Amino acid sequence: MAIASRSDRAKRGGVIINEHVLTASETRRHVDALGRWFDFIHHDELLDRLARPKARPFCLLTFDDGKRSFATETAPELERLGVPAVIYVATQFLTDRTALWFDRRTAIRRALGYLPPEIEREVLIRLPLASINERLDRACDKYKVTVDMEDDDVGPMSWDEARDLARRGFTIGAHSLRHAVLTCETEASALSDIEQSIAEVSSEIGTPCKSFAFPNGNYTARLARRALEAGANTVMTTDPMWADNSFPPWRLPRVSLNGAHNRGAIELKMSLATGRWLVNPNGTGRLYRKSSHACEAAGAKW
Amino acid sequence: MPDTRSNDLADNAKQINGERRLKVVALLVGDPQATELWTLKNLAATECELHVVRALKASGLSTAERLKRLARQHGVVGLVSRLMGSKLIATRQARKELRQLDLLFGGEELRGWWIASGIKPIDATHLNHADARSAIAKLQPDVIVRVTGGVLGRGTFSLARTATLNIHHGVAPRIRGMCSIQWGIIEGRSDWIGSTVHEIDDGIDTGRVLWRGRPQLAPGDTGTTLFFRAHLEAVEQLVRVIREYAAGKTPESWPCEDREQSDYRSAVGLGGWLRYLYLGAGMRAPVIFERAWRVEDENTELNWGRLDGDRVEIRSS
Repeated sequence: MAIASRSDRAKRGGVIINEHVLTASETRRHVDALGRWFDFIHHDELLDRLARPKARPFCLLTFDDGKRSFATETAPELERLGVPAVIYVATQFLTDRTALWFDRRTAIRRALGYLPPEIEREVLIRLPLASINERLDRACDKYKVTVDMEDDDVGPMSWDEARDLARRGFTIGAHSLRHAVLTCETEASALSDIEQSIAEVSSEIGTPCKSFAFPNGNYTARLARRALEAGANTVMTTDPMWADNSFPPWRLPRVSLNGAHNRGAIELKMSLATGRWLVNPNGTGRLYRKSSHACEAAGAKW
Repeated sequence: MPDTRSNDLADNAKQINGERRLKVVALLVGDPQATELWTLKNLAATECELHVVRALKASGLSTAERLKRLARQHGVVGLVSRLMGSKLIATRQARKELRQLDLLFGGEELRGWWIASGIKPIDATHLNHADARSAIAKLQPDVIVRVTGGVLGRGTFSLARTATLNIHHGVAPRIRGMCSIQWGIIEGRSDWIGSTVHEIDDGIDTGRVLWRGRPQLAPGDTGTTLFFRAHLEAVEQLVRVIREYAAGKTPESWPCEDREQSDYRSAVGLGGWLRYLYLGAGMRAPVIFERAWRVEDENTELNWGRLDGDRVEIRSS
């Protein structure tokens, strides 16, 4: 990690971390491990830190989906530690309070001890949301599986809780309507999903939504452009790399961590992310390595 | 052809609305796989009266006749290349893609639906054979849908009172023939990758276009995932077209440029298949990356703004 922090990328930027749910003790562990090497920054400082790097690399914490456990467990701990964060909420998830597709899939796996091949993750992430839901509805009916929405790691926070978090200094970003893999939808429906989710965050929170994160991390330039047009300043992916000023704000990379990561694993992951060794969790492997060249060739840069 | 048939349309509509449902005959070859079952399930959901005519083989030509015809069309070298491509790569690739498509379409559930649907296919030798034609004629279909099978002769496609429809997995008439999505990947033509719902006429994929669309191209896509998404969208549109016919309307033609360049491609040869595999079946294809990162749309070319303080400016050129 010491070598990584002296690398070129570190000198020019930092890391954006992609988390989902963390307990208070996991939050402490992650903050402790990352705080040794990075300055924690607020989302509002991000573009400035990318444009004008400082001696110590930065770290921006982001949490996807908008689960209730963030409001009840993670946020109080982050506040106590003085660490800012961004929460990307799937807006319809907060409004209609029905389980997200991957939580339903997890509930089936827990109940059966295995997953039927037609609802394996590798299959589902290639389907439009309507087909995913149809397939999971059928599997839940067949195996009599229900999802425990009382579990704070499954159920959504309320819009009141999201507004309260925004008042307390957390940034609320958009994460689509219902966590569809947007590149599997028709382009028109994906564009409208992005636009609608950004508009819903702005109207519910009462301040303009400044950031969008692609659900599952699958994206194209045209989708990202729509997020910028709809008012976002930054658009997040899951390309597992350090962020520096060579990245346009419409495809900022994020390194994924989860509660199981200890200090050693976090430091190893941060080091590997400087060299583009990590696999993208969105199911596209290491194809992200080709993205920068391809973007430049297509003229999609800033 | 639409003009001659549109005269019957009002009469059809009266009958359909008043006395009977739209009669649709789906044509296929062999046992339906997941892709075909998806089409049939969606057709059945339109509340039309659905019949299925199933041919045992794709064409009436013997192997020797087929080889002679291919040699005439492509020359001996072309024929050998196609045969080698088919034997060495295409067959294995097709088997792999069938397995993937089975998972994507949910083959197990579809096969369950097929058995439960009670649809009894009428068997025929091939779709242009007299037995197929007489079976179709007896059913007096309003609409024929070619789900799979070879080129339909006039004697078959003209048996529909209203229209004979086809889903072409490619953007017709820009690209016609076989394996259009694979050809798009091999030749780097993103404008070929898509699907078309069209009426069948005497040519190959030359009939009146009723809808055409293109799936998004994103890193990680392969020929199979693109085929899958193109088919999903095309079936949705096919169902819309059928519902329009059922309501006694004539679906509008899809706007295509008057002098749109049209290419025809038949089966992929050995060289093409090798390139397809080299491109990871699309995973490493430059055409997918180029399309994924291209930001301009039909009418506007857009330059990305530069970072300016804390905001990004986007300017249209």
